[in-house]
Amino acid sequence: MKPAPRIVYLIDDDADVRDALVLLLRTMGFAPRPFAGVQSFLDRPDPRQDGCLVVDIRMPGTSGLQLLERMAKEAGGMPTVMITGHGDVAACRRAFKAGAVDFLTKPIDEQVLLEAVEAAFAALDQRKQAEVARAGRDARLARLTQREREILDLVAGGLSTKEIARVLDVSPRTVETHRAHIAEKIGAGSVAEMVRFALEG
Amino acid sequence: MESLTPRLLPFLLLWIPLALAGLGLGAFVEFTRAGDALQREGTTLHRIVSQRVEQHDAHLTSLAAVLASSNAESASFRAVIEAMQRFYPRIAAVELIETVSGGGVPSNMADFDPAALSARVGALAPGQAVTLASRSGSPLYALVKRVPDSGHGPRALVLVIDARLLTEPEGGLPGDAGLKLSDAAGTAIVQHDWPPAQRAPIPDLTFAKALGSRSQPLLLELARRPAFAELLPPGLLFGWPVAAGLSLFLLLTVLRERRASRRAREAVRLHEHDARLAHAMRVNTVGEMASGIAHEITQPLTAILSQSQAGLRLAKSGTAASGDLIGVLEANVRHARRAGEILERLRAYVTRREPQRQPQDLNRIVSNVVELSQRDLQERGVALRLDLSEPGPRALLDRVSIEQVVHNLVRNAAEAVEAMPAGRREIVLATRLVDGEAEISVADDGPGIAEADMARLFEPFFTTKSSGMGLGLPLCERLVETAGGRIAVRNGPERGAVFTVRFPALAVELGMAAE
Repeated sequence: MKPAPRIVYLIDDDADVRDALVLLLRTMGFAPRPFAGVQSFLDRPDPRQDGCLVVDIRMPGTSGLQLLERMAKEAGGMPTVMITGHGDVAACRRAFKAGAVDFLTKPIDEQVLLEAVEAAFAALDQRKQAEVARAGRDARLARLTQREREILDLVAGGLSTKEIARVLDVSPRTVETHRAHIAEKIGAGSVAEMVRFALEG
Repeated sequence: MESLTPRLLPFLLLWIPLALAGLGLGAFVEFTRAGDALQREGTTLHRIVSQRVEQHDAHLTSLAAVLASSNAESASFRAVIEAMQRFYPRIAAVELIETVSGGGVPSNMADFDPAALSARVGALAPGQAVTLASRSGSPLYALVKRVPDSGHGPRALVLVIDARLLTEPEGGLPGDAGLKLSDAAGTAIVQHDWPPAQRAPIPDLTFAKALGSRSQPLLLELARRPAFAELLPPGLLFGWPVAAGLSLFLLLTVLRERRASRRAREAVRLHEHDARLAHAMRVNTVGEMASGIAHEITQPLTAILSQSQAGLRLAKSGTAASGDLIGVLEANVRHARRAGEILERLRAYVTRREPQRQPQDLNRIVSNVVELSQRDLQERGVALRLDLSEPGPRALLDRVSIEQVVHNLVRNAAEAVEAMPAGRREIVLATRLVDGEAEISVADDGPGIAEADMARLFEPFFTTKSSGMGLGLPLCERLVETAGGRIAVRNGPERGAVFTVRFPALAVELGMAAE
């Protein structure tokens, strides 16, 4: 089975630069989607968030930086590589603050571009995996009863069984029973695993 | 001459009144001084004459005394008279008249009216004396003194006095002074050199004083008319205006020099300020331009680099069709040319090459620009409408720089309408002949220009764009002005901005001849 195309949304107001980058990205095996401006990108007919972005910082109308900052506020933005014709330190800082994967100055060497885009896709993959992991964890967490969640939090807080029993005013044996249920439900083999699960929430 | 007039006029306006005032003051001082001199001389003369007439009273008294002790025929009386006449030549005659003798007026009294003489004598109290002017107008007067009668009738001693000798000056009196001695009735006894009564520009100097004598209350009058040259001596008449003129000239020159030097200092200060400003601006411009150049050149370089690396990948992969590589190379050629053009434009800006002014058809410039901007406009989704006058207006200008200007204006317009809704993304490029001027106008449907920005639009580094350098319009203005035209901006009648570039239009045949 052919792997899914790795879509790169490319936004640059300069037609020549756009054409060249499209060709280069294509030869690298990506599936570039060129746009002349931020507005036309936002207006694209198929608004899926299934790739990464390569955006010029300075453009007439909405700039790449504004797009990045807006996406950082909204959830589910795509990993973004900023490109610029100016080695502008202030813009660079703003870009990283807004969560840019990389910041490239034109002219862009293919190796640098390749690494940046790969890094963006790695970030995308990581994000996908994290999402999967989170989904699994959420599902496991959902299986716990209210009392079990309470006890899990106290375990993560570093309390021993006796201390937990005293806090909740139950017998240590009851606490032990709950802990066994929790370990079984979330699939934790040790106290350490249980604590990590609780803290990752 | 024209250059002198503005300096000469204030000089004359000051000099003439100053000269006249000085002369007037001088003349007044001279006049007063002459008047004082006349008063002084008159007083002296008055004293002398008064003393003299008092002597007459004394003579008569002594004669009367002699007569009382003897008679008129006595030798002593005659001797006294003789001595008197010898010492005092002004005493023309001494007579003893007896009115009763009737017509007995002696021959040397012929100047006097006998009847009047008799009447006077009759009216006098003994010892009283009176003055009688001669009837013939001769400078003689008679001093008549009643003496005690000898039994025949009223008797009187008469002194006939020559008034000319009486007033004979003993030096001091100005030669041209008129003199008048008149009796109490106003009849002039002596009058000489009296100024004519006609009105004169210069008033007469006068002195008038009655003699202190009771018997001879004669009025002594002096009058003189000062000569023009006396009031305005040549030294004053010529010296003062010249001196005043010279000092005035010096004063004005000094003032003018000071003003000129102050102005020169001011100019130097302003010039220095200008130079500093220009320098600061140049330094700024260099920085801004370097950044602009970098940005402009970066774009084609980026395209070339990426395109070439993509081509290399294709070639290495061995899967590339030859058409792909040809496309890559063609694109590279285009990008390299674009970079070259940018450099050419920058060089034109920096080196300020002499513009090549030739007769140009504005329509052709417009169509060249349209060709250049077509792609850019399409990408921005901006429509371009042409409204060209036929035949195209012609003007003498540098085609490349004006194309650059129009291109710049079109790009600005495109940026202005880009964010507008679809119906308003239109630019109108028009040419027309108006008031003998060839005009290109670029009108957009954008938001227009804020009133506050309007005035600063052509200032270097003023920009309303987030990524602008603020050099586009100033450069346009400079290019247009170098070509002898002018650029203007206004907001459209309904909305949007309209930039117009105008040049003196070239008549068709003139254009042909120049070509």
